Amino acid sequence: MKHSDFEERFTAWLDHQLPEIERTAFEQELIKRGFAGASERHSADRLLALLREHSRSPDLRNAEFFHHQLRHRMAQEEAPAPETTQRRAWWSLPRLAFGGAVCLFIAAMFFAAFIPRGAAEDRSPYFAEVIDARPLSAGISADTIYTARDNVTVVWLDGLEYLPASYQLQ
Amino acid sequence: MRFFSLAVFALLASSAHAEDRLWSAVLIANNAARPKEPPVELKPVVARLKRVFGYNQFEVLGADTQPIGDGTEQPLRPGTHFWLNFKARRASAKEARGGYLLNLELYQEKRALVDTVAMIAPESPLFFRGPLHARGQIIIVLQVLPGAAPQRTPQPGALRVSGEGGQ
Repeated sequence: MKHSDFEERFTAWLDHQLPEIERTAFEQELIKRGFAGASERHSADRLLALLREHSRSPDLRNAEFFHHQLRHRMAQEEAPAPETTQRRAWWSLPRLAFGGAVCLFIAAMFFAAFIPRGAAEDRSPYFAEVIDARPLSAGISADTIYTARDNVTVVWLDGLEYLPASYQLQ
Repeated sequence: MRFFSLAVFALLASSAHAEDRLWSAVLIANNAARPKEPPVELKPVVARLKRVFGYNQFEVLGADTQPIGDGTEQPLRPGTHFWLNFKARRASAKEARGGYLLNLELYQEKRALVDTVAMIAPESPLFFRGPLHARGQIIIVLQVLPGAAPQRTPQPGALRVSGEGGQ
């Protein structure tokens, strides 16, 4: 129910809250409307005094508990938006999937970069052992090279002369 | 009678096949932007050759095959300029798997390059890194081909010869 402007001003006048400028005009309006302003105010003051005297608020037992409850509720209401919600938003399923894909990509890059492929140790039954290799010309050296990974034995001759293109091989 | 002669011929043929052979080839290795397909004989070992020598193209310049047995002594001429002299003894070592103990002398023209004693099992190629040529690196390869090779499952990584190579 909406109070009329008059009722609002009347209540304010009874409570001595009406500004001085409006008060005189309002009291004249009261007279025009047939109100006895003085008796009305007197009755209101008296009623207020009686209420203050006889209508005391009950004493709360365990006041500290209620204070605590109230403070807690106020703190909850005044707190900013919960952070947990934001965190949940960050670790959402699409983000986790994206993170997983990125990790897989990085792992694949590392695998391609650092794990040797196609160079696994050859386990074929290869056996070629050089017992002795002696160079037969001056300036030539002969070394035997064998690597388990490649499973190949090579007699490596160094000090041989370079053969120009004019040297027909066939 | 005709059947008998055919049977004798087949028996002789099979005994000839049972003879081990020593195969040798001269290769030229180099790096090419578009490397040619490696020869059939080198395909099983070409990946290993690439890693060992650092080249991506291998071509056979020439090859020679000679029968080998206990006490065999004779030359192998895989190329015009490179040839080998070998003496073979049957190897008793278990790892050799019926291979040979070879005394090898590698020659370039008339110049003896190296004297090598090596024990090699069948289908286990032995490589000699020879001189560098304008076209690439010269490599001489040597391999024992078992006489029963046609009937046996080829070993991985072994050189296979499609025919009696040679010049």
